[in-house]
Amino acid sequence: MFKTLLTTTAAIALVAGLVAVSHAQSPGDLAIVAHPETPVAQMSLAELRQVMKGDRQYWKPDLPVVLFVRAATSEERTAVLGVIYQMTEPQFNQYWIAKQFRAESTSAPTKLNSNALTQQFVSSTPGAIGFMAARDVKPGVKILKIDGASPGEPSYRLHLTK
Amino acid sequence: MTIRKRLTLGFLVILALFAVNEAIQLWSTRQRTRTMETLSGALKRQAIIASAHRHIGDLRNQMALMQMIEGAQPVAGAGSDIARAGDEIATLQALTSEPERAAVDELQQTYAKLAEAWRGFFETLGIDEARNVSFKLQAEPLGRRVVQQILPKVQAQQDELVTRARKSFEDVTRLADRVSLGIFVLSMLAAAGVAYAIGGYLASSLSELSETAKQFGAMHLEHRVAVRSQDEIGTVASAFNHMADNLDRERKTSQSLLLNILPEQVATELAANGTFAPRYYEDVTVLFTDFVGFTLNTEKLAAEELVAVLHGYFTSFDRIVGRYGLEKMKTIGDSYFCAGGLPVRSPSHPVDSMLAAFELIREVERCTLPNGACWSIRVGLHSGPVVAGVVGIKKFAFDVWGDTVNLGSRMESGGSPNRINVSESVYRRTKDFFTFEARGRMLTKEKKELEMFLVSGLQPSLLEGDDNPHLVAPAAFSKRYRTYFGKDPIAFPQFLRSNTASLSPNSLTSSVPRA
Repeated sequence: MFKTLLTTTAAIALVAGLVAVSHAQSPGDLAIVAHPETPVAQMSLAELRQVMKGDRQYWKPDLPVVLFVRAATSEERTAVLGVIYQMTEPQFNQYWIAKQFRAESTSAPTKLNSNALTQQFVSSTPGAIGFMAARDVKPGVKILKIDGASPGEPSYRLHLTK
Repeated sequence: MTIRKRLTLGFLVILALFAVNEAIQLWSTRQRTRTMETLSGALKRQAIIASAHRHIGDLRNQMALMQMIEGAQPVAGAGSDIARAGDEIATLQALTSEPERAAVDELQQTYAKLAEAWRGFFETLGIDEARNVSFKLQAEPLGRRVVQQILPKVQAQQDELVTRARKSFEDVTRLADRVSLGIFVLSMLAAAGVAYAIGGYLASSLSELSETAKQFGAMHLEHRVAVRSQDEIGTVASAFNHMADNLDRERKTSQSLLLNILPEQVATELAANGTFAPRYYEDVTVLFTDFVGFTLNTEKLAAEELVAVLHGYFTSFDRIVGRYGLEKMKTIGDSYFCAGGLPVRSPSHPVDSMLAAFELIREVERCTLPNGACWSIRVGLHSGPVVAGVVGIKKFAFDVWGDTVNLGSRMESGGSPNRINVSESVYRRTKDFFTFEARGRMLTKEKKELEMFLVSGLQPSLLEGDDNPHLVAPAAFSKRYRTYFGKDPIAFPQFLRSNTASLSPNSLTSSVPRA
């Protein structure tokens, strides 16, 4: 009995320790940012997926979606491909080439090499939407709530990965 | 209007219709050529638009893909692709006229900005990311506008042009076909109308001329063609009528000449049948005259004078004989031969011949010779049967044959100057009208004895009560004549009337006042 209790206590302590270690070493959340005048403040993950995959191309009739993505080697892109696109890098490229040649998209995503450029172009391009590390977000862009949660909140589901 | 002019006019109408048709065809060809040019231009512009559309689309794709490639470098050939699309738009601009020009101008201006953004994009690719993205963000809405708005608009204009050109082509073709068909129908109708009108006119005119020719052939020369026009048919009709006039005149002349040598009935039968069948006349009176001492008298006159004298006497004889309904047969030298009772049978011919004989003697007693001398004639009459007919085919004449003719001649030759010597048959037939001196049986030159009678004059009783000179003959004479023959006398020697009724034959001669 004691042995069982000891074992259980040890396991709980191990899990709690692992969780504590894990939280302490997290790279942070992935913020979905948009131009301040974009008529959207929050959306579900499914809606976000539609926008990011080019299935929804207009915010409103006279305001097209302008999609910015980070370069292939960035952690933000890795997180987005895994959570939102649910594609590998080759699948992502193939997806957009096919979409472009099938004329299913008014424009392909614009690749940016830094969060600073993302901040710059999202803030200055009407209809723009992109993603960047939440820690790098500066005023001038609108951070969208996903499934009702903002970056930093426990229920927020988009996180950067190492 | 002449037939030639009518035909010419008809053909001119048809030619005019064909000329109109040809003009319509020329107009149609010109319109179709113009339409084809419009169509060709529109198709050419459509091809240019399609090519430009493809190149712009390629450039948009190229930009999108190049931007996605990690470590992409500036694209060297992009400039020429951009310029090629620009050239195509410039060509399209040159080939486009108002009112489609405005849209093409908009295309050209928008593409110029797009080309500038593209050039910036491809030049800064992999070099200056911020500018590169800026150019991309400039190019995307411009490209979207060109591809989604302007090019479809220009394309729609060209489609509309093609549609209009095709419709115009069809309209012109349909109109030309209809007009051509209409003119063809009109031409056919005009040709048929002209042919029907002129054909009908010619047919009826020729039919009338043919009928007239048949009438002429049947010797109905009084028939005439109605001249209704001044054309060739009218000329032919006038010629027909003129020919009929001449033929009718010639026929009347011929008939007149024929009647001079033939009795009317004989001439009519000859004209109708070509022959005159010999006839037997059981009762006629032949009358012969002969000038006494003619041969001796001829020595005292020139030949021309002699012929003139004979002509004068015989002309008078013809009138006298005609007046009494006798038929002159012929003259033989100075002898005059006529007959009564033929060719129209008549019961009064002995009396009529006797009355005529009185007038013949009276005519000779007028003494109309140029030298003032007087001739005298013997007159002989005999009644009996004869055969009459026309013989020969040239210079034919109506003649009589038989003993009666010979006996008549013997009565003349056995007579006395200015006396009427008759046979017994004449005496018997006329003794109730005339008085006679019986001469008994006289010997003829054939040594044949014949009873002969010299006429003394008219029965005195027949002159009684002759107080109306307006009557043809004395009333008593006419009454007896009517009683015997059932008709009135047609003539009567006026010198035999009441004041001379009782004269003897000698005094008859002496009592006639000489001219």
